[in-house]
Amino acid sequence: MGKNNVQDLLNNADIQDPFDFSQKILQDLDSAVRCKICSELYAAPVVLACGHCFCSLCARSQLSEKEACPACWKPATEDQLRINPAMEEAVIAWKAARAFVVRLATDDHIRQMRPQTPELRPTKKRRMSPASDSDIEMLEQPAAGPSTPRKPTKRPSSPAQPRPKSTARSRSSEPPVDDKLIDCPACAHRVHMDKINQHLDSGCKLPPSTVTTSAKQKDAWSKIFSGETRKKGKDRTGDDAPLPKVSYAVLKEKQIRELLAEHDLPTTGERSLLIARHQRWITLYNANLDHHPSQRRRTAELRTELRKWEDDRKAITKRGTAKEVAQAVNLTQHQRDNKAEFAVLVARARPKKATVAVSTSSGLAELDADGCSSPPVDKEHDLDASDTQVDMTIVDPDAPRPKESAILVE
Amino acid sequence: MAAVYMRRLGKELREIETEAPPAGLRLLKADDFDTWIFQIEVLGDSLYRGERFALKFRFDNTYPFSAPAVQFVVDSQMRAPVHPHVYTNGHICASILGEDWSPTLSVISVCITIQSMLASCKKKELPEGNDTYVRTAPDNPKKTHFVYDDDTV
Ligand SMILES: [Zn+2]
Ligand SMILES: [Zn+2]
Ligand SMILES: [Zn+2]
Repeated sequence: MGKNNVQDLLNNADIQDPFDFSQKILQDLDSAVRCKICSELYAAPVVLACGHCFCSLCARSQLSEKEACPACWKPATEDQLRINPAMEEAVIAWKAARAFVVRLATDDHIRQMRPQTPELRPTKKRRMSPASDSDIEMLEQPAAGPSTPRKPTKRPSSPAQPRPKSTARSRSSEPPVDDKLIDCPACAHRVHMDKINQHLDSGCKLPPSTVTTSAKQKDAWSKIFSGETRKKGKDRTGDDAPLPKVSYAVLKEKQIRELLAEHDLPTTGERSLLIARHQRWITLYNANLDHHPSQRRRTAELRTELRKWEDDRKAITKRGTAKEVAQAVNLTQHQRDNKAEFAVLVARARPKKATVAVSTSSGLAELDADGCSSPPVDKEHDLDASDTQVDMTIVDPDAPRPKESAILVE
Repeated sequence: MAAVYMRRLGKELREIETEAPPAGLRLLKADDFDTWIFQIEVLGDSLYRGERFALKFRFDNTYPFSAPAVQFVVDSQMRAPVHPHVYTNGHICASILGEDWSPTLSVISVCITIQSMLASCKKKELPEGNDTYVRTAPDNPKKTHFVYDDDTV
């Protein structure tokens, strides 16, 4: 993270969620097109064998940990994933309409909150004038009228690329406008995609990133992004065939390196890293194919993402151990960045507090406590009876109980 | 672009701030994406009537694909509840924090589950082997491999 901290902050401003609406019906509508894993609007939605829907990347990431649907625990595998073009279309349409609906809804909400006086007038009028029927009354109400000029919400939704009318999957795939800024793999600054190679060739012209990556690996990544290794690999964007899974156990380290080289990926690191890198690449690559061609990202962007993932992965291992040794002694850069981002999110969250609160429930997992009866889902938890979340998670009701104690691992 | 786990936590926080959290739960601390603390009490009739506990969540960027590290706060002021699934160092043996975790669960749903676990308890007693465990336990409960023995037959 490090360098692009400020960018992160700015980009946080694009975080949208159902609470952009004060009306429960609209919150529910917004939730209905969101993935229950990442809480974002579905990106490349896919359905599992059970019918539950998630972003392709979310589903694939989860299934590589556990071959079961995270919502209903029915068995599920990556091979069974099916794209859900109807949902993708719904999301694209909703993205395009969302800012407008937020504006209408905000206007309406403000009108509802106003003192009663203006509302009394039409009613009175109607009673007095025999000609006035309900039709006329409706016309008098400024409902949904653009006549009330208001500044749009601070977070207008990014303009969604209109989807081509033809349902045929076109090969040319111009990425959506908002996807064109990518993180430079070497300096972590946001750079326009088309400029990334020039930027890298120029040696970034910016101080090096503080991200902790071994110099050698960073170098390997930089080379890849500067296109030095290009000639060998083919850029497969536009090729619709998903990459097959690989049984790494039967491969020699050299062969794994060759697999990576085929995709212009770094071949540095030890065997476990090579495998993890290749596996993640397949996941990212195949998830990207589940987008409509007009929504797909370029292979270069996927490489950037893979690189980021690798950095995060390293950060976890480091943070994990550091935490064990000296907890909360000094803040790492990463944590400090988090703090700043967090402040922005909190700031966003607070002003909304005043709006009408309608309670929604979160997924509730039941747990069978040892020697205790299964807990009733009681009113005290304030669960909304009209809860519309279909993806309630039911954890195995005969949940396991602890045996004598616990065993330390590692 | 903020990391996926921060975006997800940001949305969870916004829900908590916008809607009041469920009864008996109160957010005490959420200053960063690393550690959140909730006050938790069991309302109504239960063995824990009138008691208040603090539940601590620790996150890393594997969230929500892997469970947060969740434990009761044990310090000069706070104690862990006496419960057959809760060790005196605050560690909790609950399968949803381990093998039954699902990325569709949330911080609030974990709180509710823990609340229910306390609410339904019939006898206040410590887990078997508490002393041994507490003596050797790692700081992070996720490092512990709890053994669940399914004898519901
Ligand atoms: Zn998702
Ligand atoms: Zn399912
Ligand atoms: Zn079809």
